[in-house]
Amino acid sequence: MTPPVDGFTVQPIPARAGIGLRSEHYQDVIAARPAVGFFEIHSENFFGPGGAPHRYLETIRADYPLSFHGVGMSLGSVDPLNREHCQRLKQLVDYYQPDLVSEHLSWSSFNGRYFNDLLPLPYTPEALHHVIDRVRQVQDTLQRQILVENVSSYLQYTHSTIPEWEFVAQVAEQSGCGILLDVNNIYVNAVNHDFDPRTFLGGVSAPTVKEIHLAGHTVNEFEDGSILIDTHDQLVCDEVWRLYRDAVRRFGPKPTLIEWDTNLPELSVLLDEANTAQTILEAPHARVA
Amino acid sequence: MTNTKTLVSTAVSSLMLLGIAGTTLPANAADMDKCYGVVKAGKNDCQTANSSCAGTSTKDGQKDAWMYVPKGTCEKLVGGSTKSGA
Amino acid sequence: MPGLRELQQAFGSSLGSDDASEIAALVCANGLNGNRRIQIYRNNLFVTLTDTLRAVYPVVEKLVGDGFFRFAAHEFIHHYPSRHGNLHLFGHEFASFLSEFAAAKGHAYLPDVARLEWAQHEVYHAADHAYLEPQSLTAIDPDCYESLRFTLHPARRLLHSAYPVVRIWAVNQPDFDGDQMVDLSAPGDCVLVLRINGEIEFHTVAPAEYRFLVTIHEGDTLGRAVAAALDKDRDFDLNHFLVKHVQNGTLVEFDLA
Repeated sequence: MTPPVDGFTVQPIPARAGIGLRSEHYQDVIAARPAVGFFEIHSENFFGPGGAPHRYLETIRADYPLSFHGVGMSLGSVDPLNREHCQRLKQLVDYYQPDLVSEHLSWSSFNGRYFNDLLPLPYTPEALHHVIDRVRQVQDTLQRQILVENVSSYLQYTHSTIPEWEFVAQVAEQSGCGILLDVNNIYVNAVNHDFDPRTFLGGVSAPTVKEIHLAGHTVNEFEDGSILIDTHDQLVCDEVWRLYRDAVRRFGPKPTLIEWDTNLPELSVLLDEANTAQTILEAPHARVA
Repeated sequence: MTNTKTLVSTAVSSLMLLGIAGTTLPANAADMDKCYGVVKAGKNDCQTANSSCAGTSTKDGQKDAWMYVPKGTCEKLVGGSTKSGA
Repeated sequence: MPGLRELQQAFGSSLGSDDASEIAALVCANGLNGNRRIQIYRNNLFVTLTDTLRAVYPVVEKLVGDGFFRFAAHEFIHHYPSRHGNLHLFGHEFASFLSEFAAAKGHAYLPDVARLEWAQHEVYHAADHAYLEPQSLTAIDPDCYESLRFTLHPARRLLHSAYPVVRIWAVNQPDFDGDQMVDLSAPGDCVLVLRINGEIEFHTVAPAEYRFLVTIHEGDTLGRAVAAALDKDRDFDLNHFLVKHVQNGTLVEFDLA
C-alpha cells in the first residue's frame, strides 16, 4: 500500500470507540478490517524513519482515522523542551495527518536523563504555569492543538495546592489545548488519593474534552495498605465502566479508546471491550448531554 | 596481478546490462547462507509495570531473583569458555 | 516548599539510588509511606528499561538466562541511563557494556551476539531507499569507473566476529528444534544484515566480499574496494558481487570521487 500521491488528508475521528494499535495486531487488523471508529498509536513507535512499521501504518491509515498518542515528550519537565523529539513528531503528524495528537500531563526526564515513565507533577501555580508554557511551545511547533491526558499517580506531594481536576482544566483553558480524559486514571487516583471521582468529572468542562481513555488496572496489596496500579493489562473494571457512563452523560459522546499494553490478548478481546464502550456511547442518555 | 581497471570496467558494464534491480536475486547457493530475524517492535507504552515483587522491596528491581552467573543456553556453546576478549 | 526544579531533581536521584529520603519527605504518607510509593516508580523504571533490553536482545537473554539478564540489565541501566523519550534508542551500548562486565567474562562471544541483535534492531527501523537503477550508470565515462563511490542502503549493517555468531543466533531462536550445540572454535562470521520487504536477513559473506563492502561503506572508491577485496582473495569475482549487491538493494546510490 503506497500513500496517496497528494498525501493523507485529515479524517475526523467520530465519537465512537477505537482501540490502541499494537504491533502484535498489525496483521490481524489489516486482514480483518474490524469496524472500529479509529486506531490510536504511540507516536514514538513510529519515530524510526522507515521499514515495516510505516508500511503497516500507511495501510491502516488509508482505511481508518488515526490518533497519535505520545509517551516521551516530558511535557512537565524543567529541562528545555526536547526540540529533536518535537520536530520528529511534527514530521510524523505532517505526514500521517492524524485527527488527534495527545501527550501526558506529567514529566519524565531531568537533566537529560529519561525515566521513561509518567511521573506526577505537584499541583502548584509554578507547575501550572510551566506546563501551560510547554503546551504552548509544542502547539506552536506542531502548528495545531494537542490534547493532554490526566495520569495515574501513586503519590501526592504535601505542597500541592490545586485539586488535580482544576489543574487539568486550567491547563486546557489557558493553553488552548484539549483534554484527553482517562477515566481509569481518574478512578485509580480517586482510590489512591481518596477523592470522589465524580468531583473530577464535575471540574472539567464538556467542550474541552476531546477524547476518553479506558483501561484496566491492578490492585496491589501490602501489609500497610493497598494501591491501584495503572497496568493496562486487563479488562476495564465495573466501577470504571460506571464512571465512564457518568462521563458520557456529562460530556456527551466522545471518541473513546480501549488501551491495552501488557499481556496483550487477542484482537477480539479488545474489540469486545470497544463494543461495550460503543453501546454506552449509543445509549439514549448519551445523546442529550 | 589482475588489472583492477579491466575488472571494474567489465563489472560495471555487465551491471548496466541488468534490468531493474531487485527483481531477481542471484541464484548462487553459496551466497545464500542467511537467517531471518524476527523483530519485536513497539516498546513505547504508557502503562505502569507491576512485576510480582513491585513495591514489596525497599530496594530496586528483584535482586532476590537475580543470578550472578550466566545460566542459559550458553552452556551449549563449547570450546570457547577459556577465550578472553573478542 | 520545593520549587519544581528541586522536586524533579530529588525525585530523579531517588529513582537512581536506594535512598528516597529527600523525596519521601515531600510526599503525603496517607496509608503507604513515601518510600513505598517511590519504590513503585523505581520498579517501573527498572522493569520498563529491562523489558526494552529484553525485546532488543532476546538471544543474549536466552544465552545467559533470565536471572543473569536482569542482573546485567540493572548494572547497565545504572551505568548507561536512558537519554531519550523514545525507547527504541535505548540500549545501543549494551554490547560494549557486556565486553567490560566482569560477571560475563569467559563468555567473550556475548558482546558480538549483542552487536548482531542491535544491528537487527537498527535495520528494522532504518530509512527506506529505492534500488539503484543500473541504466543511470550510462552517464558515467568508462574511464572513471574506478572512481565510482557507492552508498549502502540505510537498512544495511556490516559486522564481523571471531565467533560463529549467526549460528549462535540461529540455534537460539524460539522455533529452532535442532542440535543447540555450537563449537566456538569454528571460524568466525562476516555478516551483512539486510532488510528486504521489511524482513530482516543475516547473510554470512566471505572475508573478501566483506572487505569489499566495508571499504565502500567507508566512502572509498570502487577501485580501492576491489583492491582491498583482491588483497583478501586473489580470485575475488567483482563482476558477480557488484551485480549481487545492486540486485539485493545493498548498493543504492553512486557518485564520482
